[in-house]
Amino acid sequence: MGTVKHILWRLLNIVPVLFVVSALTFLVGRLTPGDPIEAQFARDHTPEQIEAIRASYGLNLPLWEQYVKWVRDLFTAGGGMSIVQNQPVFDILGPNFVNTLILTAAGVVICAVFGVLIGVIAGTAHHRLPDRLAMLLVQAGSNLSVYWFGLILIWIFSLQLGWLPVGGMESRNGGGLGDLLAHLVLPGVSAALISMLVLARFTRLGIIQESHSDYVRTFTSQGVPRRRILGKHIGRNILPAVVNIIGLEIGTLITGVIFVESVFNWPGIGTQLVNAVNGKDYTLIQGGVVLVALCYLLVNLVTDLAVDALNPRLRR
Amino acid sequence: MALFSVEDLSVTFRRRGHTTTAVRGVSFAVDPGRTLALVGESGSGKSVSLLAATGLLPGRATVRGAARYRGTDLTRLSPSRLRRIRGRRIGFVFQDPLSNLHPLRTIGAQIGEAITAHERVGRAALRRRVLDLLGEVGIRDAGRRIDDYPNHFSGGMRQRAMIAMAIALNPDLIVADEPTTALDVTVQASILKLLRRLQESHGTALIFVSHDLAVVSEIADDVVVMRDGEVVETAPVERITTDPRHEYTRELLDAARRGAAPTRAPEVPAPPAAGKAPLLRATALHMTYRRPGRKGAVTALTDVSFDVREGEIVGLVGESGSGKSTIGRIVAGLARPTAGSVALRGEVCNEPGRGPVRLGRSLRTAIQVVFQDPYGSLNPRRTVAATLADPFVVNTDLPAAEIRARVEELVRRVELPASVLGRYPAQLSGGQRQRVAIARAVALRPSLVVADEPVSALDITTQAQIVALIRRLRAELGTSFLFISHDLGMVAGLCDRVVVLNRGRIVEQGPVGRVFDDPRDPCTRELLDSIPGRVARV
Repeated sequence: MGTVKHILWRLLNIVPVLFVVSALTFLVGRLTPGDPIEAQFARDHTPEQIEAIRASYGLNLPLWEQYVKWVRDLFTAGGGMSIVQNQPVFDILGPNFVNTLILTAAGVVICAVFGVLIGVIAGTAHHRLPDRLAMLLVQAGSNLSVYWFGLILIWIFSLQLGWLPVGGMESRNGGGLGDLLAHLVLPGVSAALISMLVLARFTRLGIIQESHSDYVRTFTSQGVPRRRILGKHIGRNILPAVVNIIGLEIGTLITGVIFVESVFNWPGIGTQLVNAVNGKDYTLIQGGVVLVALCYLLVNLVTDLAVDALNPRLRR
Repeated sequence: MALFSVEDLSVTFRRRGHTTTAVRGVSFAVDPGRTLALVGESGSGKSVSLLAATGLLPGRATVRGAARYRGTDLTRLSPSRLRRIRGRRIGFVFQDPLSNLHPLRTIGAQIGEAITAHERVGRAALRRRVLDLLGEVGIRDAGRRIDDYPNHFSGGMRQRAMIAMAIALNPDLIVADEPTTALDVTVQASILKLLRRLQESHGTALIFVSHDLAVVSEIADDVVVMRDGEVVETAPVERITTDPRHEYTRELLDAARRGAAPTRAPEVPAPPAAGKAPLLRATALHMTYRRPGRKGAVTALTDVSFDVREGEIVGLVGESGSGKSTIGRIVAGLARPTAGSVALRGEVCNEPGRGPVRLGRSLRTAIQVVFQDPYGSLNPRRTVAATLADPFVVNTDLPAAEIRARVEELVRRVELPASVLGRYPAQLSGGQRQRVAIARAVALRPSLVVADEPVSALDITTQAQIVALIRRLRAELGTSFLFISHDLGMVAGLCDRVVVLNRGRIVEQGPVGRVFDDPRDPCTRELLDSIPGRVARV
């Protein structure tokens, strides 16, 4: 009962945050110079006609009324009409948003698996060669830019070795899950890189710290094998921290993915949002930002609930 | 042949080119079924030699000499063969039972781990064995407590759980490293009794490490006295307590006797004028807690009223869970009572309500706190000078040079060398850290310092020094102290008046001499009887 109540309360908390996010994006859009209607129609329409077009989008109303109308559209009219493409915003963003989520998910999996793996290798070999090598990798990797790293990956694995596709989401003749996975590898790795290294650092540090704790000595003194202490007890104790960092890094990943999409020509919402910004397509920008913010909030919520569930001292 | 012997053991640590020798040529032996005690103050190498002998020493240490278990030299065994001896042949009990247990695993799972490390046992059988063990170490209602986490257990129960782990596979030898130091006297007495009983029923040998000769005299057959990494004296316990040969043994013995039969503090300077409000008045304090996930509330305090007069040291005693620390927290304004109030010089400074207690600047600086663990209450990344400057920076507008002068004066006042100013807490000894914490508390000349078990984490000689410091600060600054302790010997030697608590109620209060010589409440009598060595010597 307590848990359900808690989750509902946390879900309810998302509402005010979304309100602030939507109000801010709305305002920032309106307060920057430039007018999408003028830009599109000024050349071949009279001022009266432009006014009429403006009125048809509701752009002549006071700001707060525009905001209220837009929020209503979010729920009833697919996020309102795109000013440039003349289609409901969610119809435009929908399919591409799914693509972005697929890429993000791939990034998260790569980040979690390899981040933890590198961290465990380094942490258990503290001060020895594998640790030093892993940390060198982490140091160097943390300073790479996503653009450059993506291009290098394409050059090595696509152009030189020919193992993986250069970009896009599927081959021309289409084809199945295997094809999708092959297309996911390189963009997934580039999106995950920084987050993976951050996670590796925290995992390594957690293992090193826990290895020196008293309870590890207790288990050692009872003759519990080192491997079991590491896997079962140290692992259990750093798990909440690892989950927490993965949750935070998913946020970073969602934003990072937007850059990766342009390098790998991935059909996600990144490209669309950049175009929308250039064309001052208010409704499209707002719709995109609200979608990303909602994902972010949900991920945070799930992370918090998972971390709470992993700590018996906080269990309700 | 001895069951376990250490022969000419030396341990050196290397750190950045420096080598420190922690243990030098130590030898001792224990026969089957006997109890050997290693005694000495902290840093004397007691624990290090045992950890080195059993291969549990962390970090880079060089171990020379031999540690033989039934003739096998443990220092030469491979890790996997050593692992098979640990737990099955030699069990361990460590000092701080909270940090020594995994915080996120149930007590039952951890005890089970000690068994499954060496044997294949089915789930149901394992659970039955763990339940039996919990019963054997005296945990009541084991069926319900087996799935609790360590934070649900009291200090004494955690120590019992650790003992259950140690005896799980019926080893020939148990190594207990300060197993009762973090516990209060009544719990300590029951743990000692438990160890003795287990030893008798299973014929287990015991190596018992302690800084307290009084405790040791209750349990040991033979005693090894250590100082600065060397053995200074080895003898049967009767000879150590009646005819100590080494000067250091005599010092330890004196310290232990002082603890049990303390010299009385001088009486309060002048009784305050009648009618004048006392410095601190706690009136009818009640405190109840709600526990998450459990029904009902826990009552921590019931109708607690007492006064602290100007310049007075009042002792607050009782066993763990009696509500001492709760009172300290309420007096210090760190928690609000459920009912009742606290007034400083007649002005109410804490009463029921929501949210943290908010006080004006004068009240805020009038009451200060010193906690038990000086390491936990000092910021590890700030130097002593920075830590001591904080009260001035936050509460005064003094210029930097003046603050520096005040900090230097404070350090002198608590008898620390000026060289500590640039050091970090990790570079100080436990006693030095507690001096820093005390210096911080008295920095702004508070009227009252709440000291919550300020010496119980320290060894006995350091304890005496800190107590002397508190007495001197009272004489020099006129500061009153609310001294919370489970150590009656300490309270008797330091305090003017004492308040005895049991289960959140005051059972007795009065001048120290009266309460200790003529205890009226059975709880007080029981507390007095649990002082180790008291019955034997008085």
